[in-house]
Amino acid sequence: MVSRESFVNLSDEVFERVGVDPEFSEHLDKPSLTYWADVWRRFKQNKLAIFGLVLMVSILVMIFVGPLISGKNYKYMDSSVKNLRPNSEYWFGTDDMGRDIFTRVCYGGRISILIGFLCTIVMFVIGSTLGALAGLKGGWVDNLIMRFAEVIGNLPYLIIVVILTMVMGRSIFAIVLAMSITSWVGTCRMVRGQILQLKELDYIEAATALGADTARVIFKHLLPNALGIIMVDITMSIPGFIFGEAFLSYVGLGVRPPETSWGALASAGQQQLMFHPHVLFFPCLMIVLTTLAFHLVGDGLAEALDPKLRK
Amino acid sequence: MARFIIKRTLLGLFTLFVIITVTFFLIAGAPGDPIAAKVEQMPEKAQRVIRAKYGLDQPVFKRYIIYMKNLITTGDFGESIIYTGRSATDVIKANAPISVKINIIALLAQVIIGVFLGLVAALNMGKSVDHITRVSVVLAICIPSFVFAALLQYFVAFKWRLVPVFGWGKPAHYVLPVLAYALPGIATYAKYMRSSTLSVINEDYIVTAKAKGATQGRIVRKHILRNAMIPIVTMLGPAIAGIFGSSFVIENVFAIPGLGSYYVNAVRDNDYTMVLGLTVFFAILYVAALILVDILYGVVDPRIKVAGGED
Amino acid sequence: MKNNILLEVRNLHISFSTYAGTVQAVRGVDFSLNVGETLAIVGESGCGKTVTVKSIVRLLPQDVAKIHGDNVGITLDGEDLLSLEEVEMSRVRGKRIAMIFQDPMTSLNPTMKIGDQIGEVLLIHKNVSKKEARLQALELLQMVNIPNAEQRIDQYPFEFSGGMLQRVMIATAIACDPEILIADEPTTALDVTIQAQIIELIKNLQRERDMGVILVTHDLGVVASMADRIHVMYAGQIVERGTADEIFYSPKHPYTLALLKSVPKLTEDKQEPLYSLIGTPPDLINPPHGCSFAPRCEFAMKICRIAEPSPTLFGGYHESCCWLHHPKANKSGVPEILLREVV
Repeated sequence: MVSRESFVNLSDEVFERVGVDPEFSEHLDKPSLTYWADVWRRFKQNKLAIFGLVLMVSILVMIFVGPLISGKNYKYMDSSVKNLRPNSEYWFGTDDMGRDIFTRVCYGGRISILIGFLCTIVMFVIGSTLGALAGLKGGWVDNLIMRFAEVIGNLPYLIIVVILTMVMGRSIFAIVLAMSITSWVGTCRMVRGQILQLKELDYIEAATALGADTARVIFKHLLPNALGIIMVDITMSIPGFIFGEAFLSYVGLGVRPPETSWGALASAGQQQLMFHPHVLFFPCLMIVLTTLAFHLVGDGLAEALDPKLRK
Repeated sequence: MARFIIKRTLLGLFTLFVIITVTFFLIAGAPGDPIAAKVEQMPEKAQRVIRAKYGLDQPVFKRYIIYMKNLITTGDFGESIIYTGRSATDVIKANAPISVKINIIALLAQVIIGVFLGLVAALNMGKSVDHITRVSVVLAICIPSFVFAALLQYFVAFKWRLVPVFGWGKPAHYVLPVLAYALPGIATYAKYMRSSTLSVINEDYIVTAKAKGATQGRIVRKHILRNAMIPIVTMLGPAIAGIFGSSFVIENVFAIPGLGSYYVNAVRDNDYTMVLGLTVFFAILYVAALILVDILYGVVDPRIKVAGGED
Repeated sequence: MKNNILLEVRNLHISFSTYAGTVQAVRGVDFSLNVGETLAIVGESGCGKTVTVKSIVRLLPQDVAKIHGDNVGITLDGEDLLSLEEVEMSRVRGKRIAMIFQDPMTSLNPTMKIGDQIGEVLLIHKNVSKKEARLQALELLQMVNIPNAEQRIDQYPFEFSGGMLQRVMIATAIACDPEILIADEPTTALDVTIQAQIIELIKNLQRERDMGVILVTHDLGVVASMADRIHVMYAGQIVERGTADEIFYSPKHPYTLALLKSVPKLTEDKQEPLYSLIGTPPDLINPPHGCSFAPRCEFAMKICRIAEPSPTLFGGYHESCCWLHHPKANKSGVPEILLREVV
């Protein structure tokens, strides 16, 4: 600190009145980015999340473009090239029937990821519709839906899946239905909670009092608010469903030949584990990498949306 | 509290009723004649006798009434349609203890190791212990247990010959299945424990405890642990409910004669009555476990007792 | 008076490392607390008052908060608290210096019974059995006027109201007969009617036990009835200090005056709008040059933006850091009360 004495001989000029700094009051708010630009900026700073995003895109490109480049058919069997190790002709090797594993992994991936997406969409549509209905209508509608959700939520997921696939046959449709039928409860509760929270807000009450359509007002405010949570929910759900299908297929309850999926490929590879481990290795690797990619992106997104999580 | 338990039990019974009824009619309405394969070769008269034995000559609804009556009055889960004379009760008695053993060992390992790792990581946030735990957790969550199982079988059992590849009976047989089964669970518990500990650490009452002169050890034991465990307890519900058969993949991979693998086989064999019997059994345990956990939750978190009673 | 000094804080600087940069939350704070005295630290939120008192018992997160400064020191009865080992420090906390916080609703462990939370401090510092701790906890609950203490002792925080919880916090704080009680915004989260009761309770306990009290608040009204001396803090610095009378009746810093003017008075003319200070406290990542209050000060001069003012003494303990007290200062339009020389 500067001592007072050294300023005794200050010129009069420095004591000129300047008053409140006009710039100060104008610049109280720092230049603020829009919400989504800010989220994106934080997401970009997260190297792991970016790695996950790159990985996710690479996997998608591989499973869709891969078979075109390899030029092989996933069903074509060539008994002269059984159980080959990975080489320049067969990048991931061949299986016990002489099929190209790379091409099969690409096709299987399409099914696995398709199932993941479909289940998530069904889960989301059912969950948010029922959740919105319960939250908006309230009263007996709310009560009925929430009791129903409670019952469904209490159902043992695995058993439902097994029974449904058993009864409906092991089609992709049956698997999707079976896996998403028990999964929407969480989404339903989340959406209902968000709506109830919004309903409490003064400005929504005011708008309703003035005769505005409550549902419309709420959706206008709900969507931007809930979009973040929903996006994280979706990113985290997809790998869960891919996993679920893989487990089912692995024990022989999933998709049926000639259709295939990563789980089904792994299941087939399991029988040859001891002598041809590569048959099992590649589909497993793809499951792991895909799950990893979605998890990293989901975590990154959650952190970007809620900086408090970043620790 | 009593009111809460009664309410919860009634809802549980209703859930159970829904599951049993839905399962019964789903299976009864399944395409194909469940018994055709078995009786095809038999003379007409013998076929009729067998059909009568399983009540297949009766209308569906009457069969349902008979089944429910047997279930409630005598606890009879039904008899196998494929293997004459084998009742679901016998199968449960013979196979359930094996599943229960594996699952309890694995669950204990998951919770104890997972909670410990999560706690240690959170208390050392940002240090290398934390980083290593976080990376391992992400990897372990992204690897399905059957991949772990395959890796363990290939290296530990097949290459290094430390333990048997599969089979059942000796203590050595437990090692790989329990390891493979517990790993993803350990990672999940560690992940949730870490984040719940981090949020508890930042609570005001931790500062209060410190201001009271409590040492770090005391703060962890008396204040952090219990509060951070609350979300973990909610996760225990499905986990405890699953100890009778959710290890079906692992049982399948390691050829363990547990209830889970029996169930999967029954589904694959289209053994309708057995599937129905086992499903009912799983459902009862599942619902009972969920009620148990709700009560447990009230014990851990005193706020629930009052809130639950008033709901 | 000098011999009576219980706690002394010297040239305290505290900075926090954040993602945005280093926040200089406290920038050279000195004060001392005498035995049995009530000292108030007053300022807007974010001025560093809470950080200052938390640093006394070293409750700031060590990994982000750095305490520094030339010859910096926090001494309790001649003992330097900053150089104590963590274990030794924990023997000071709760026993010699106790603390109560702003929000009683979140400051108590939600899964621990009230009685156990009060008893804990006794178990830690006094060599008592659990039974003994419970008995003393019961006495303490009665002392802070909790009705039905026998039943209340086995209840959980969620069964209490905010005011009751703050009483519990106070009971916990006085359990070990501390020499100093630090009350960090003890009434901010409470209803107005409860506020007065809590202040009255602290006041009575302080008199009975001859405790030193450091009262942190943004509310001058709270301070008026109980503080012996008042420190006004702005942007991490003490801008004015003095006895309660000096601060209330003869403020010497424009910021203090602004704070006083923004307190509503019942007697005031209702036609006149309540005074409010424009702007917000400065960004402490890049504190302004010169006086940190200058950007919001209507009497600011050029010098205020260039150099920090040093303290001017107005007799006794009354001190203010403002260029207006310089002989050459432009005093036109400045309220007479700020300029009046007190002898």
